[in-house]
Amino acid sequence: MNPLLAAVAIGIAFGWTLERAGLGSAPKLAGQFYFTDLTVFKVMFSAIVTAMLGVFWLSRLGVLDLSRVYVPETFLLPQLAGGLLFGAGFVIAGLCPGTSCVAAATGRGDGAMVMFGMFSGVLATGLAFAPLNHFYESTARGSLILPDLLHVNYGVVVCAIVAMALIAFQFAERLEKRT
Amino acid sequence: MIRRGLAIAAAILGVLALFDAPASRWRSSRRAAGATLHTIAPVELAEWIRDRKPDLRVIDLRSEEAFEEYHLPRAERFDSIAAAHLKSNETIVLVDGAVGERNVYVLRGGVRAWTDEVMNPTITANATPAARAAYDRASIVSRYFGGVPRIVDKLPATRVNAAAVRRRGC
Repeated sequence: MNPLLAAVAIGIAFGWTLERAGLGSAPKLAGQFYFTDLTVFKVMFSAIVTAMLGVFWLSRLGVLDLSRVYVPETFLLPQLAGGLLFGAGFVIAGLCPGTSCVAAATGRGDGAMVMFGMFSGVLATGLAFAPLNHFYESTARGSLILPDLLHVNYGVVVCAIVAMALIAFQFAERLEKRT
Repeated sequence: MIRRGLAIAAAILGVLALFDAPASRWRSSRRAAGATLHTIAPVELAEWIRDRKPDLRVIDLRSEEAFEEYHLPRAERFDSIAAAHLKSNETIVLVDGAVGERNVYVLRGGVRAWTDEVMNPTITANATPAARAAYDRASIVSRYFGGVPRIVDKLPATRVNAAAVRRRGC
């Protein structure tokens, strides 16, 4: 299958899922930061657990070749700075890149404005990239994966993350009921 | 009800993952008992890294500046790790020369060979079948790490810097 067609199909499915989960609404997303609506946390953590269990068991059953799954490299400081900037933008806009596309696609003006701001930011970063390049390449740590980092078996990490997710879901539900 | 069922399924799959084969079962039989110092070809090391060889640690002995400029995927700077943290059953690959020790490999040709053979494998159109087979093997890992395999009319005298073609995540 053409990779671009596959990407379009996966993108549409991802967008549809986000919209169905209610993540095209900025107030719902903003509720995450005030602990009144933890839908984002639950949807994203569910997706992580589903993907992790799928990748783990499909690779162990010989269906998926784990060596073909690309692991992006870690650059500590630039990624920390990027994460903080991303988080600040998320709180201010009430939307993240994926959900802004979903919001815009369903006709929401705020989604279109966030997309405009996002692409403006991409353009500005591209234009100002030369002086940032040294920082961008700094504190490289290679491709890190948790089993290597913690020196434990892959299965132990999988089990621990599933346990964390189930406990966190319980906690999130109680928090939402209280507020 | 559905959510409870999904949570139970996730819990079962998570607990079963605990019984995953220990790292030793995945370990390569190449590691001979009592072995001292080995060298490893860049393409073979690239395959180890790609295949997530259990207990593999790639330790870069070069300067911090050289490391920051470019390093192998999963490589760690020697200064940044404490020798006490190295376990006896781990396979250690040293980038740049080092003392001989059990399960220690030295990357043959260092980072330069990695750059040439993994990131920029090059072959002429009229190469021998053996060279072509080696090129095909290198091309697979090269593309995995974002390299650029090339078939040229004449081999270049110098190669390009691999850092310029490093693959990025999404």
